[in-house]
Amino acid sequence: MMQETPPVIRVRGLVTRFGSQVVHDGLDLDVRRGEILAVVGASGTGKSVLLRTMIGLHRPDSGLVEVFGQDLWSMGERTRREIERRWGVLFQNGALFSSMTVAQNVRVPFNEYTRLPAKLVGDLIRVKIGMVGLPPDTGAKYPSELSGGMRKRAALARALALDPEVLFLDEPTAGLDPIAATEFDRLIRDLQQSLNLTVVIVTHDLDTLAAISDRVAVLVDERVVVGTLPDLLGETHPWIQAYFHGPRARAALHARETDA
Amino acid sequence: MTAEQVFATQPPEDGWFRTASADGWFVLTFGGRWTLSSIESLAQPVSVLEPPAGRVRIDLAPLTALDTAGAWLLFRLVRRLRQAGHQVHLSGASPAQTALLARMQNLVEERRPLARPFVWPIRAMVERVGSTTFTVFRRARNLVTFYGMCAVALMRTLVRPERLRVISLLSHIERIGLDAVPIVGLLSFLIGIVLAYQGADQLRTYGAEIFTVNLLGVSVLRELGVLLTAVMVAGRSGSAFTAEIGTMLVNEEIDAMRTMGLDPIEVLVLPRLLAMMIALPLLAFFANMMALFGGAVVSVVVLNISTGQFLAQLSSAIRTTMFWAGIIKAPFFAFLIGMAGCYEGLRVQGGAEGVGRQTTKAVVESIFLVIVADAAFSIFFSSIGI
Repeated sequence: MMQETPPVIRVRGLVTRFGSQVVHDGLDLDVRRGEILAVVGASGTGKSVLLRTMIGLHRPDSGLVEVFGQDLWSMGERTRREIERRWGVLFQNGALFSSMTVAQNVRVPFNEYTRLPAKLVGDLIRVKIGMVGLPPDTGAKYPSELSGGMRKRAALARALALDPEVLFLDEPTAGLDPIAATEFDRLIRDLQQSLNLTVVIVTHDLDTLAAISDRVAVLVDERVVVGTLPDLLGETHPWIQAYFHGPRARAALHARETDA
Repeated sequence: MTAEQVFATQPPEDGWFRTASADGWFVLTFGGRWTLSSIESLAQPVSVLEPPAGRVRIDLAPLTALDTAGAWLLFRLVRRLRQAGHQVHLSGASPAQTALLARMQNLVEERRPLARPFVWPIRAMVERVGSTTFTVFRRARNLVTFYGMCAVALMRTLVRPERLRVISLLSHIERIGLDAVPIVGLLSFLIGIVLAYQGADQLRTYGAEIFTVNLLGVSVLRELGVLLTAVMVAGRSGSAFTAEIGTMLVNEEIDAMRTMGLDPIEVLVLPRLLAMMIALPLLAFFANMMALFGGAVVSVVVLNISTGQFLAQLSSAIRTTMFWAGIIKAPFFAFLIGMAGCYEGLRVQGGAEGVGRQTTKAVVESIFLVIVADAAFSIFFSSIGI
């Protein structure tokens, strides 16, 4: 990874509190351009809150969140909109608009941000739906007619609609069977390489971690420890030790070695 | 090189392409950023490109950015040229760009419609009428089944009263009855005031202001008190039944209950239904008193009827049967409201959206049923001479 380019997202001194419970206390994190960064941590350590903070859905109690070099919480309405166009978010349960078909869902960002001819938009919607591995007739279906895995793919197609530079994924493989999850990992990896995406994944899935992440951010003690997998294997923090040396982690890491 | 032509977008998008001819090749050079924002203006010139017959070389080396939209445009061009019989040669693409173009190639080419197929309006209408007819019959059957299930559960509870969820029953009575006291009381009080004012206005013409008390007493006790309370409770608690049960259904809590051998009718529906049938008559009685009180305040303060006169007139105007003719309707209304609320809750389909839809339906249905029942009672009472 190129060190010289400025980070896509810079978080400094982030503090998040819910009542008297402190979730993040002085958390620092950089997301570098073109990397896949996985965020892991025990339940309740604020993984999803961190993601929501990075995309501006949750206002931190203090600290700085910079996206593309601009402070997320002091920018004007216009800059905010321009930045929102440059990222795509896949929510945990897809968050597809249930009153619209898949194609209409993917069309929403196009209508909101572009003035392309209708036929071209139709083509692009087909391209996106095909790209995420859905059969072509999915476009006319409603989210309620799709299986969990297909809904995730459809939501990914919507997140990718405007070819964002940064993709945020909240537990993309949760609730998928292992085969579908592996396929989803591969899809993310492929798209990341051919579109040169920067990807932030919040996950519990050790296989995802081992298979596609460039770096891993572990939430412990209200902060993050960031490093590549080999770095983290050498960490002495007890939770990180337990996480990366447990039986599940060993199996996932072993699979990664035999794959490579 | 001859006949060089350049198409470029306006800054800041800066995507461009150049056409030229050299050594029997028609050379297309693509450069700059071919992304969603620049193809807005590149799509048109690209779609009308007509190179002379022969070999075409597309040079992608000066491209600085290519996203799916740009790749799609490029892919479409290559496909069109190949179909027109050109020999197309791509060069200068980075590995990532090659991968992206390959991805376009792999996409299924079939042009499936993105919208639902079109159906002729007449045919659609016939289909709608048919399916609605079936739905109505299916719903009638479901409703009868539901009433039957409730009756069975009720019988079981009567035989073995220890099965009744007493705590649940009491908490529902509190929520339906006690919690509604302020709003029902205030509304009834205000209705009493309104009735007294309007009645007095009309009766003054005949110098019969004192009969305002008769009007008030009869209309409140026989009709308005219980009807208003029923409508309020349908909006407040009937809707809550649907929302609560519907949400549990969506969360699979009801399935979980069934697998543990609990009967959802017995656990969820019966306590609510019984609580409603106990709370509504009490509330209706309270509403009656508050409405009479509101009327009394107006009579005493505005109409100069003394408290003693008011009470004497009231007791001569109404009879006990009149009071009972009103209050006896309350448990029946309660039954209808509770049934509609619980039934619609158990019929929720889909997610949170379905809960909302069914809740609206439950409120409309229960108010409708209450008014129909009220009309039936009126006919019945007049036929037996009460």
